[in-house]
Amino acid sequence: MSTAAAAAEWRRRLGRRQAAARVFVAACQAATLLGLLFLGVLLVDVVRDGAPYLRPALVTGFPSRFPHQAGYASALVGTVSVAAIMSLVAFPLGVAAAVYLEEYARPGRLVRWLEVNIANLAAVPSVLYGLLGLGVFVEGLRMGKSVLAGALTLALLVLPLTILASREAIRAVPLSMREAAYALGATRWQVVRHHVLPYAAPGIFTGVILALSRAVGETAPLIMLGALQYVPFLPRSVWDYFTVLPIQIFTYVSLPNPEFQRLAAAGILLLLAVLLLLNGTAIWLRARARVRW
Amino acid sequence: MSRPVERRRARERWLTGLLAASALLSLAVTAAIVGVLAYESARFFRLPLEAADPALVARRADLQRFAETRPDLVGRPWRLVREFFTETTWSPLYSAGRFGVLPLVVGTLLTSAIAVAVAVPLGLLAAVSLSEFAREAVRARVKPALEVLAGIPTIVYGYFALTFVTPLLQERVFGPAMAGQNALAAGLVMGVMLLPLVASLSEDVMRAVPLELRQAAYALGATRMEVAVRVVLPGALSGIAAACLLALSRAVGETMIVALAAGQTPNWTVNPLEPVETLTAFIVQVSLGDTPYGSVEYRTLFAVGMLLFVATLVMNALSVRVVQRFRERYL
Repeated sequence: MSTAAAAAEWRRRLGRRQAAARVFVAACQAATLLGLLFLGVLLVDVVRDGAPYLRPALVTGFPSRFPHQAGYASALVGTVSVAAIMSLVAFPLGVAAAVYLEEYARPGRLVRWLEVNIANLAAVPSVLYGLLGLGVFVEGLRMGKSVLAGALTLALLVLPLTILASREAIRAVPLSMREAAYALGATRWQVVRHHVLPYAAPGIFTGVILALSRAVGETAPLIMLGALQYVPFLPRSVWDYFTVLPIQIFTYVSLPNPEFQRLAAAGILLLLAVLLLLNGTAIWLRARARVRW
Repeated sequence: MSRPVERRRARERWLTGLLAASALLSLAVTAAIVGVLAYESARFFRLPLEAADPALVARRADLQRFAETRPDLVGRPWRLVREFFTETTWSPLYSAGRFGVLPLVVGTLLTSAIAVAVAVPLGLLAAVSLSEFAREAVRARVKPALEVLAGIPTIVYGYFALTFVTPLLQERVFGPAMAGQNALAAGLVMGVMLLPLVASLSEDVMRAVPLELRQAAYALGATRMEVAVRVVLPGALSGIAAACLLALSRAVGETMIVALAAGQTPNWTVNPLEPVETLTAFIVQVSLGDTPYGSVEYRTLFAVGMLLFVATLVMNALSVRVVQRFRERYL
């Protein structure tokens, strides 16, 4: 082949390669946009379906056979009580575990084991935590299908997430802070209590809120705890039956009357509003806490 | 003089113990999960033995039903084990129950395969776009927006798949051949849900590929596509493989989307237009009804749960192993 022919061939190939590159770049951008487009369509669809049911009865009404009376009162109170009790249990334990792993434990086999174990726990399907709760809390400890059993089950679910997020926040506190405190004769706990935790607090809170919003959106593990019962009352104690927002939505979606599906869409808007509030707080905390060392 | 110091030391000791106990709690949680699942699934496979014990059968209505409807299993636990793992009819909730779990396994694999077929290509393209082509300002906005997808509760996706995606596909594409609950819509929506997971993890490893490699390729005249596909992708392969395995494991464990949109009918089929039941959807289905402690249904819950646990554990362990074995080390 002559040089000129080779050059022509090369140029032809170059044209093809450049065309392929253009198509590829466009495909990449399209894939990114597709996710966002999907999100948009989903939100529009839910708003369109749920809008007629955005009325006071949405938050004051109890489950009912009549869609125009039905609402999410017991689910909303259930979500708040379960989330509150769960937070009291899971977050102190999670932060304490993170403090131990970051500040106390000597690196070694035990720490490596704990790390692998926590990572594995974080990846266990949530529905299996439901089986755990059913076997241990509901039947084993005879708590019955109660607010307390639900809260403890979710606490175990978010524990690994809390530990992972808190460790990250604690690790971001510079070593020099600790060294300065130790040099002044502070004990380990004093260093943690007065120096590490205050500086890590915004990061920890952000992680905690994200874990909380994960728990608020969870459906599957609570179905096992019988939270699906028709609950036309507010829980009065931690031993009562309960329902939560995602489960009430699931119940309404499963009913044959299409009006209930619209009510479910309105419930989804309510759930998303709660999550937006939580995540907004997390973002606000993160923005405020951006300390540069 | 030394008393405050001693008091402080004592406080240090019990606080250290308290913190260590919290850290060890996570081991206890794992032990409890494994313990509960193993114990109750063992009791499932012991059903034939219990049904062979006249004293027990006389006391328990469900055992009596089991013994009457499945006399072939009474006293033969190994036959139940073989039926569980090899037969293709799953109907433990009916009176003459069959316990072949394969339809649930196939249903799970079908919906997960569809989800992964959506999430992996799209997620990788999105990751390339964010890591290689997008300007920093665009990336900083688009990435959190994509992560919103990952934060939406799965019940919302289930609602969307059931009330929007399925009717749309029925109307526009498949017509009445598509059932109201089907593997396709559930899988597609699950795929979009997993897209940000694949994109985000892959993007992180792609950005870790050193700039010099890209510059060298560009200097040789490579196009943007050639750099992305032949330099960045191979360099990030271990992380990408791990992300895909993680996505698969999430798809297998995902519950609400498939329970709502894929159905609650065990179905020995790979036709994506038909309803199928996954392992997770079965757990939901049983939990919706009343399952007295220790009953046959109660035990099947845990046998299916054990299978799910082992499957996801293996995939997660594999993904960790892949990262360790095949990571490119850049100096």
